[in-house]
Amino acid sequence: MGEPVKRTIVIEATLFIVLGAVGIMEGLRLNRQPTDLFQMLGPGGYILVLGLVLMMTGAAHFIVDYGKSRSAEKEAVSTKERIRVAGLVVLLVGNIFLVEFAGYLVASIVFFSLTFKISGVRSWRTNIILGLCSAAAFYVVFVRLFDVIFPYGILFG
Amino acid sequence: MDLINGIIHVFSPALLLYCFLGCLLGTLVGVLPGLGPAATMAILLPVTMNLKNPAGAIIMMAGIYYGAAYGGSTTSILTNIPGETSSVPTCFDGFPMTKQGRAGEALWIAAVGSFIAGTVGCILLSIIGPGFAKFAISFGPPEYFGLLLFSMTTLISLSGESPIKGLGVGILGMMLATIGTDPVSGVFRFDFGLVNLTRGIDLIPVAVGLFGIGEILMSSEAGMTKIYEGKLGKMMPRGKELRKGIWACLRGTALGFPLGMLPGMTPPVASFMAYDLEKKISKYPEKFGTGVIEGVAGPEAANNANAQAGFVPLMAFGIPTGPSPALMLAALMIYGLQPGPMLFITKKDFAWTIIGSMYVGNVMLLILNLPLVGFWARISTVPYKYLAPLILGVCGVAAYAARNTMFDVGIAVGAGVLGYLMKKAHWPIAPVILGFILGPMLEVSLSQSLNMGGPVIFLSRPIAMVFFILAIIIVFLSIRFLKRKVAKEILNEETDL
Repeated sequence: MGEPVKRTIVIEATLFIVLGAVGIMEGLRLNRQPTDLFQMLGPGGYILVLGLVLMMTGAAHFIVDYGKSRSAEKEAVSTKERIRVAGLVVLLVGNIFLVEFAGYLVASIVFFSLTFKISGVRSWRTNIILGLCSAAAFYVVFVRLFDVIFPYGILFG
Repeated sequence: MDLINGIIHVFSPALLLYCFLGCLLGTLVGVLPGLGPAATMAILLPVTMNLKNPAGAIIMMAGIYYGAAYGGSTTSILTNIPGETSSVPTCFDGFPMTKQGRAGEALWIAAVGSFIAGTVGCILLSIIGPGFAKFAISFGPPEYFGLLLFSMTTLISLSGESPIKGLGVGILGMMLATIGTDPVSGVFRFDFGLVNLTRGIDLIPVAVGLFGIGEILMSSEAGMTKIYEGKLGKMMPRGKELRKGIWACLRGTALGFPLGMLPGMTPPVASFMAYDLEKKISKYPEKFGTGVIEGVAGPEAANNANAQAGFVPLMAFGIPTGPSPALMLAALMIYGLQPGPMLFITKKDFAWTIIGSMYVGNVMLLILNLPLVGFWARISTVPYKYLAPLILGVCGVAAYAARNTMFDVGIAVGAGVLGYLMKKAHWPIAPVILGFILGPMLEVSLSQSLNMGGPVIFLSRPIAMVFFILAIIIVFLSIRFLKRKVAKEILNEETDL
């Protein structure tokens, strides 16, 4: 049971070390740039320090937490729940592209209808009605009342 | 006199409306799990930019912040589902009181305790805030750097179960804030050749993603439902129960307010400490968890007093003590109002109007929470499957409205996934936002200090040195705590073997 948790710690520590290394590289790159300004810290000095601390944190996390990972318990999450979360993320990402293509109103109708379905509203008719009503309400509140200007999309633009 | 003028100013129709809206939204946010005050404030930030009334916008945001502290108790007591993290201890005795048919008493003492704590908190804020501001006038870049370093150190040490995790995510937040343009030289940093990244990453999509979208993803996975159980019963406790409750409120206030002025000591910390305190000093600690009124009154008062106290360092120094005050800071800066000691001098009327609005807001919240408790209870029965898509929609709009670009919606979704993964892995989220906000301030103050006289400038500034020493003490205590924790776990493992 400890193995998956150990793996998680290795991934987390590696991520921090890699991000820290990226920070150090960016800091060095910036400090090599010529500048007329007097700046004791330099444009990259601050990032250099952050990158270094992040790398050290990753290493510390691995050293301190790897050994005690055995006592942690793995949470039980069913496939259905994972699919629900993944579905929501896919919808959110897909919505971004759909807004750019078809405009906010069309995209929000599709988004809300599908999101209600994934959240657990079973009937497709109910989903579509809820999707239409939600999109209309958002349009009235945010576009008409609060003057938020949404994209019209390539299709209607 | 300034305070009285501030309160009088709040009694204009527009400001009263904003105060009411903030309190109403705050209570609603508190009642509904899945959306905390930080996410709501992040969502409303771009919307309030259209209001053209800075005082109204800030009053509304403040109302959301301390209103959520009131509202979180309702679902904790009625359904055993805390509306806010700070309301978790309220579940321990509040829900058992509901099962005993005493929900009304629990709700009453939670609301009245919150009112007492909020009012006392306002009074103390009125007295202490300007005093701190006068002290802060003497601060220069070295002192600010010292204070910010101390704040970050404390926040990181107090976040979650591991200071290492807190440090890691805090530094991550600080690095995210460096994306875009260097504040001194103007060179592009971490842009990777992308035009969108040269503008930097805005706070709102990050906050909305981490706190809003991330929370919805977690709640969707958990398959949250709402159930209202139990009858309200009589509303007001009587006799000995009332006395015990009121005393617990006063103790909670005395504990919560000083804690609230310290970075990292957010309302959840105060409410847990207050519950612990009530249990320790009680003559019958074994009864805690079975429906003891002090177990509701103490934590609720502490979390409200704590919320009010957070405005002291925010307005006096411009230093937020938690994610919600950090968003208040962002709101003030959006309106060109630099929080800090000069706020009480150059924008005196504005500062006292905000403080005055808190007095008025506390009265409004008492009215909203007591007579309307049945209404809030019904709201909490709305199934989550209908709320989650709407909240996601609002998050998307908020992220977009910050700079009118879908790129920010992408940032919010990315931050949401990150927030979800962090919660799954039990990593604290608050340090990311705080690092994001405090990081640039830290960088600028460090750069200015070094340009003033190099690293030795800090040695000639006693206030800065005091903050450095305090930060070192905090780090030392964290390492010591960590060593003890690791040693204890090794010992447990050896015993098991």
